[in-house]
Amino acid sequence: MNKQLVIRIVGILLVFLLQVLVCNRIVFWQCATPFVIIYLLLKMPSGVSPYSALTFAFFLGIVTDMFTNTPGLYALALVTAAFVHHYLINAIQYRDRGEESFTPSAAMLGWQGYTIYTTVLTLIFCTVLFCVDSLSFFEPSQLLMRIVGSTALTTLILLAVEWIYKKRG
Amino acid sequence: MRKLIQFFITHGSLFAYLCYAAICLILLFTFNPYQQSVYFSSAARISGSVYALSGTVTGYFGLQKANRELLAQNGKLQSELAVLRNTLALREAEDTLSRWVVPAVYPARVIVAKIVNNSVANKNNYITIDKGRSDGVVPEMGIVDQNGVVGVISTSSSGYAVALSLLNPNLRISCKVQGSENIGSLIWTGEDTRHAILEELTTNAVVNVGDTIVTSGFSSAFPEGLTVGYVVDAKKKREKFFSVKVRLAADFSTLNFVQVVDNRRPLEQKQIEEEAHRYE
Repeated sequence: MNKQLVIRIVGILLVFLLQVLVCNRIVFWQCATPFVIIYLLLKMPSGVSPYSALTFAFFLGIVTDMFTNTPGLYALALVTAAFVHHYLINAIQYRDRGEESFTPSAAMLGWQGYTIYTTVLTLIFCTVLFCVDSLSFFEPSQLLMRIVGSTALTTLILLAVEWIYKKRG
Repeated sequence: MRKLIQFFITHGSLFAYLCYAAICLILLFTFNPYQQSVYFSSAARISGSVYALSGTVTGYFGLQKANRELLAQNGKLQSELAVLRNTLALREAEDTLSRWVVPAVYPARVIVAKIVNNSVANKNNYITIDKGRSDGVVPEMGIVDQNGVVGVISTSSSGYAVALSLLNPNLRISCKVQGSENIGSLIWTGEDTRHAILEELTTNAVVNVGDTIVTSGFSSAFPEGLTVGYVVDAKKKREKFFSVKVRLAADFSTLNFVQVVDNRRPLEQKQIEEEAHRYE
């Protein structure tokens, strides 16, 4: 039990550091940035209460913001994503699972379901992040490019990671 | 109340989300220069338009006050205008009267006055003017307008004076036909406001229609030669005296400004006359 918790915390730290130290410096074609930090939301178990999930997302965002020097930006995007995540999880829970707690994965939801799940969360995260970042619709085409590009890249990476994990068993 | 609490419980995650979002937005707009500038410029635009709107609304409330002030100012200006018009009319009247009526050879002093009350329809008609004893107007002074003789002051108070109009049978004025020395007495018979009768003319007098009747200068009220009227009917009767009908020069229904003629005889003349009466 303790070992699992430590693994989890270390995993969270690793993903977080990967995001702030590596991914935030990557910009493909001037629009696509991978946001691997969403992986932490994706893998949040269904048993976590919405308050805990929101609080976790909030503090995760705040700490990320400290590294990117954009107080409130990542926090808002992550809290919004966590809020939507809560409803998505609820929908899955009542349809498929009953009271049993679970961690969303491709094996459980199927590739189609997991892809939709990932894409929706990533899209919401990226939309909030870029809209608040630019805070105007002055250049709508560029804004759209950044949202779509980053969503696509992030989703691809997350699905690849999921595929690797599933293959390893 | 219970329903409200129930609502908060069922939508707890929504409220938690809104709280976190609010905190994020506060952080965002407080610590990010770009977002802050956007916020400030937008806020300035919004508050500016709100201020403009409220200014439009409160402007309408202010209109009432502005209207009151304008009305007060208007009233003040109008009263000033009335005073100035009065002054102007007085000056014009003074100018006209001094040029037309009183010949320069007479040393008579004139006082310009405005008529404040005037009757023409009564049996005995009187005229009230806005000059009185304090302006030097005393009884026995004659009043004239730019056309001719109007009446004689009968009483005066400090600020006002009342004159017997020519249209008053109690007033007799010593007159003569211009160009001759035939003296008569002008009196109004009460028939109409345009005509009077010149009585007591001697039978040898030659009077033609159209002759001008002027004051004789024998009374203290008027100097000699002021126009009184024009002869319109010169019927001659075989009597000792005869009378002619005279159209009055002054139009009594349109009197406005008049001149009070101060023709009081010098003290010397008065004294010698009194002396003469004593020897009678």
